[in-house]
Amino acid sequence: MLDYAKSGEIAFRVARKTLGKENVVRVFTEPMFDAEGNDALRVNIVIQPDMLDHVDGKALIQTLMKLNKNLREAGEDRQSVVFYATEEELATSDEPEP
Amino acid sequence: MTNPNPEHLLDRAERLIASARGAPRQVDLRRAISDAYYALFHAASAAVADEFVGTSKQSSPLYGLVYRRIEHRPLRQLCEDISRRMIPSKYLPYFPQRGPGGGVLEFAAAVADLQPKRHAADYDPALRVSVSDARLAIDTARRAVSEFHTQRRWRQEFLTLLLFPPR
Repeated sequence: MLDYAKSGEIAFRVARKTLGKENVVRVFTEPMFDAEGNDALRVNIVIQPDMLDHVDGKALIQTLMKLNKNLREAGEDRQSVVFYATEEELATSDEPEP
Repeated sequence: MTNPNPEHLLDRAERLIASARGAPRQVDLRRAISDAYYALFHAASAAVADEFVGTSKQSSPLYGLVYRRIEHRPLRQLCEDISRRMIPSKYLPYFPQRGPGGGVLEFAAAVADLQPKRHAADYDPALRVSVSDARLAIDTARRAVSEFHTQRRWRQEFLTLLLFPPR
C-alpha cells in the first residue's frame, strides 16, 4: 500500500499524460471501500470544466488502465476507483441541494 | 425479447444529467452512474447468453436462465484481475500471462471502476456526485460496451470464465 502523497503523484502524472496536461488541475487520493468492504483507493481527478468537450471514452479508459498498471507496479495493492470533479464542483459539494 | 439494451440505459443516463432547469438533482446523477454500470452488466449478461444459448433463442427460458447467471461479485473479481494484469494461476490455461488485451481489457477496466462507484451512488449517503463524474462515467461505459461488441478477441475465454469459474 502506497502513501497517499505517492499514489497522488503517480495518478497525477498518468492523468496528465492520458487526458492532456491542460485538462488536469490536480489529483488527490484517499481511502474508500468497495461493495464487499474491501479496501480500495479513491483517485480524485480535478479537471478543467471544458475537458468534458475534449476527452473521449478511449482516453478515459486508457486512464483507468494506466492508473491500475502504474500504481500496482509502484506497490499499490488496492483497486483504484476514479472520480472526476471541477474545482467549482468540489467547492460546492458540501452545500445542501436546493 | 425485452432484456435491457445497454445503449438505451446510457441514453437514459444522458437525459438524466441534461437538466433543462438548473443543476441536475443528486438522485438523477446517482441514477446516471448506476445506469452506466448496469449498461456494462447487461452487456456481459447478454453476451454470455448469446454465446452459450444463441441469439436465435433469446425468447427461450434457457436464454433467460443463462442471462441471469451472471453475478456482480464474480464479474468484478474477474475484471479486477484482468485490468490489474494480475492473472491468477487458475486462469493461466485460458489467458496469456499478462492477461487479454483489446476490447475485453477495456471492458474489464470499466467494470472494475464503475461497479464500486455504482455501489456508492446507490448506497452511500455521504457521496456527492458531480455532473462531470456522471458525464464521464457515461462516456467510459459507452466506449467499453462498443469495444466489447466489436473487438471479439479473448471474448469467448472471458465469457466462459465468467460463467464457469475454474475450481
